[in-house]
Amino acid sequence: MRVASAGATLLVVAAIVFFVMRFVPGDPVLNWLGTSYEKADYDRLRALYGLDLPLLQQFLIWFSNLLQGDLGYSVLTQLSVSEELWRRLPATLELIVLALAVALPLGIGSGIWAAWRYGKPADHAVLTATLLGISLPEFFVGALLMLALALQWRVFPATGFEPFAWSTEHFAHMALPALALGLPRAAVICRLMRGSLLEVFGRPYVRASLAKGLSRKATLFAHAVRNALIPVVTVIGLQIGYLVAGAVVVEKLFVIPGVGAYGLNAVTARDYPSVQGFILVVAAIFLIANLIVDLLYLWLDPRIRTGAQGAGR
Amino acid sequence: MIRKIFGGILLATSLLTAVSVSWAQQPRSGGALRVGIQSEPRSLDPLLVITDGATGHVVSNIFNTLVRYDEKMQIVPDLATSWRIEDDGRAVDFFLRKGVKFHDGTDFDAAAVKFAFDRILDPANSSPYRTFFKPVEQVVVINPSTVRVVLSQPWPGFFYQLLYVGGMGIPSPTAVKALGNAGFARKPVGTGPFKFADWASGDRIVLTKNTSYYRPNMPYLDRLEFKVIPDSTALTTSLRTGQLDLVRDIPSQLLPLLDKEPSLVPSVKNAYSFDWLALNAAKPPFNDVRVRQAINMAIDRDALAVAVYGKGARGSTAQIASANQFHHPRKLPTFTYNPERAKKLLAEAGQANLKFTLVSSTVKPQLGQEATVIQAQLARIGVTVTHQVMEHQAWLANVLRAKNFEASTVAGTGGPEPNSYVMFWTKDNPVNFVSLNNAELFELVPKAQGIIKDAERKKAYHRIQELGAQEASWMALMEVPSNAVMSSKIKGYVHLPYNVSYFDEVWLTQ
Repeated sequence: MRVASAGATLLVVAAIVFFVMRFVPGDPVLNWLGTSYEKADYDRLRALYGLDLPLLQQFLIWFSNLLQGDLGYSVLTQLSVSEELWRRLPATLELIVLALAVALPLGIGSGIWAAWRYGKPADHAVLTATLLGISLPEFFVGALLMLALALQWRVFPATGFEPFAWSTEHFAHMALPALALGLPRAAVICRLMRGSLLEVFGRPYVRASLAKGLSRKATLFAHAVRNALIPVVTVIGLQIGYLVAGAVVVEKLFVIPGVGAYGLNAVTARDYPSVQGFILVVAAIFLIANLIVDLLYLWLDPRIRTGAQGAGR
Repeated sequence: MIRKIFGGILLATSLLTAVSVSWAQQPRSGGALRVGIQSEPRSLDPLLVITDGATGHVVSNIFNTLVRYDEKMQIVPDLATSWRIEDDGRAVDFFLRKGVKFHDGTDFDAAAVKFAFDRILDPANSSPYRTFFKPVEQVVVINPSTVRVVLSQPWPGFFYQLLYVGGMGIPSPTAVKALGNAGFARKPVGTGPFKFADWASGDRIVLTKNTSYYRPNMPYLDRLEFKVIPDSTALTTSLRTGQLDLVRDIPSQLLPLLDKEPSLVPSVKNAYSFDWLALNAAKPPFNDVRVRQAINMAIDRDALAVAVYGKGARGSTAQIASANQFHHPRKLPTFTYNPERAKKLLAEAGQANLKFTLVSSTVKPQLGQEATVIQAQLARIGVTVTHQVMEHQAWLANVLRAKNFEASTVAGTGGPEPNSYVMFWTKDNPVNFVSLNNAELFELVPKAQGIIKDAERKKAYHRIQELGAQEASWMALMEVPSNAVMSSKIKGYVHLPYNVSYFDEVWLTQ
């Protein structure tokens, strides 16, 4: 059921993107021809890419190809859109996973710590740091990291990409991009974790647990954290969306040949088939991430599990 | 005895030093060079795709052209060892180098040259360069090492046209036929010093040494890598940390940052490119020539150039760049800063309180900066300018195609060929987006292209520039300097202030 509705969502997204792109000024052929061309050349190229057909017909052609898994060819490079996206997907997925590997432990950990030290200097320090993290966009964090860690201290290489391998070389190249993408997300998760935990601290079951004689620390880890995580997990699902958007900028800055950099080029060149393919992939990542989040709920909140079984009976 | 030994050591050391000095001067083979480029080529087929700034530097190493530039931008032999021009200027015979082979092992010959021309001229290939080669009537193979190009009119600019941005590289006909246009664009085969090896899109293009290159002992480098780095902070940082060895034409405001690095050698030259001001003569207020002239006279071009491109940059004085031999020697009146005259002209035209919108495209940040400076300068004579930034594709559609604008800053490339500066000043040209309409220019521009005698041709181009300056609708603002920043270990790199780099003569000291 969930999978079917996700599929339908994807198709609606595809249709919207198709028409929105057509209403944005500019067209791929003009981009191809540059500043000096003859009208006949312009018309010939438009016909070649089927851009002279009525909009609805263009859509139906594209849509029926899409249903057969064919995303068409890039106007810009003549390469197959699906092949190119497929080739670039691993780099982007790895970047997102690494960014989550930065954001989750750092965000949840510092959130717990700030809540634990509520009102103390440590809490204020974390709040200030996260305020910065939330306010600074990825490209700025990335540029700062690059100047500090690549130029000043020469810890990591500034740019460049090494295809995936379990090597120091590969991960050294991914370190700065993962930090640039992960740190702002860590800030958001941290603030949420802190707030959620503080709220849970006031609940009767926590008070009951303390009254039972359980230590504060034991109460925190045995009861409070797990319950405080529920709203955080919801937001992490949404944060995946930000990660994909952030990947566009971070990939461009650090020159990672991923899906995001592809999408950015495609949009600037009005390369319709590529933009449409890119948006579909982004939407798919987002939908899959949210499916995973829903599964996590089952583990975190026993009530949902029971509810599901109840409905089954 | 001790003195003798000492003397001996001294002699030996000085000999060694002498040897190592001459050793250092000798080009050394081997090594890899990493070049940073700011945009990814969309194709490596030099004939079919309009080549942006970066592409020329790549394709000029995979392909050879019939002729090439020397370090003074003079035309010298490449695949053609010599040539003969018919007395009436309507045909050129090229005598071709023998024994040259394409990277796929096939022979380079006159048929390959004909194939290259025919590909451009065939409308089915939609080459953006087809319009530039219009005077070419046909190409005839005389014998395997002689090819004749028949022209519809004498065309002194022909040789320069062979060297447009990346140059008309000669592709292997066998490879083009086997791969098709789309395939060849991603897997080019030429006769150049480097062979195409790999293109990881969004990341890098790798070329390797062509061991059967026609120039003896060349190329010196084993490998040439072009890394695509669009972000300028990332680009300069990579250069400073030694991840890149050479970068061409970085934003000029970043140059002072790189000057301080002892391992880097910068080079800045006057180039052929201009940034322009386009005023739409088809619409009020700029349908009045007085208003167009006034706006141009109210712009202090030297101050504008320095504000945008830094110290040493110069405002333009005519529509053909000073590096070009057809540049008008006089500073033309509408290029001269004269706010008093500007005010008077506006008053005469009844536009003393003129308001208009100046758009700039996002294709390069300087265009927006120029608009801001112009806005401030025009405010001094009471003209109110609204600056509108337009995403480049939207700019192409609204300004260039739909001609729906009042004024715009525009980036344009020129070259050693004068026609490239004024080529759209012809009747019914779709790219005449400023709607320039001047009968004398429409007659003179195509005619000037065919004048053989240098002095007469110069006269014609001077007249064209004078007329263009009076029209004042398409006016150069400033010359855009060209720069190259490279590691001090690079030897033999000639910085040509144009979109071309020949890496066959380049070598590394370590």
